[in-house]
Amino acid sequence: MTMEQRSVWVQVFVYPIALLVYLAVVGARASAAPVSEISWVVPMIWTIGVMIIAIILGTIATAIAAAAGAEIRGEKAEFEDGDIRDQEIERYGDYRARHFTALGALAVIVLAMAHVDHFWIATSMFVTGTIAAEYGCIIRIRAYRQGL
Amino acid sequence: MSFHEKSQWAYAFAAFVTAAVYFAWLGTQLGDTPAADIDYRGALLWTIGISMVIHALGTGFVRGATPKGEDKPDLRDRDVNRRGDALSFYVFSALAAGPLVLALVDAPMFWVANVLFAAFAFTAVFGVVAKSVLYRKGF
Repeated sequence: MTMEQRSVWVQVFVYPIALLVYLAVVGARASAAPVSEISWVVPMIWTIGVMIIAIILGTIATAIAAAAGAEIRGEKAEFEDGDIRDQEIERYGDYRARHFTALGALAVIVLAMAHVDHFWIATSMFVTGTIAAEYGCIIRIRAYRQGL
Repeated sequence: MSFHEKSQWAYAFAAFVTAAVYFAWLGTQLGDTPAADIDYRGALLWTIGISMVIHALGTGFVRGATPKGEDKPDLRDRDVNRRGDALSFYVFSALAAGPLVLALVDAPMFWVANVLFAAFAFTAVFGVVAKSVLYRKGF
């Protein structure tokens, strides 16, 4: 498995977990007070930051775990470099995710025109962005298995 | 030029001209009216609507001018399209950080909506320019 493929597998778990944690935290706060009064900016910034760090650390950790596993089995640990296939698959996933963000952006523009609270604007952007990234990852995992 | 190379120009024209007219109008409004008092919503909806109509008509026109059976995308069209949309995805993801930050700092909704629309329109035009460069110069 190349580092790119490893990273996709980490991302596919990190995005939904991060999204659910954020929604659980602000959801709990929103059920107690109106959204215009709850503090959601700090949880969102934390979620985005932790998400990025988790992807980096997760990719490194799975690479180390795979190498350790290979050593235990008495094989030589191999680190494959990414090649043209990884690149093509990445582009393919991003190409599919693009349509998702375009639709999401139109929806958010409409929300902004409706002058809903800032919470809803930022949250819907965050949700569509995360779902688009998750969708791209699923497409990439499928492409690794079944080809483009 | 293949059908797809031509038809994407219909999209670029639709996106660029309508957005340019909208932002020119918005600029003149901003000159003498405070942002909070500008009723941009109707204009923005019209801009998006007209852009879709121009895009549909333009694509139809190009399709009509293309010999029958030549409007199927070939491998090159497909690759250019994928690469161009992947590039647009990076550009839009980066630009979307702008309106997200505006929303985080509680900026007026006028700015959130218009910066987001600007990012959207810019990415549409960028995508077409990127694809025509890919068509001309290759990968």
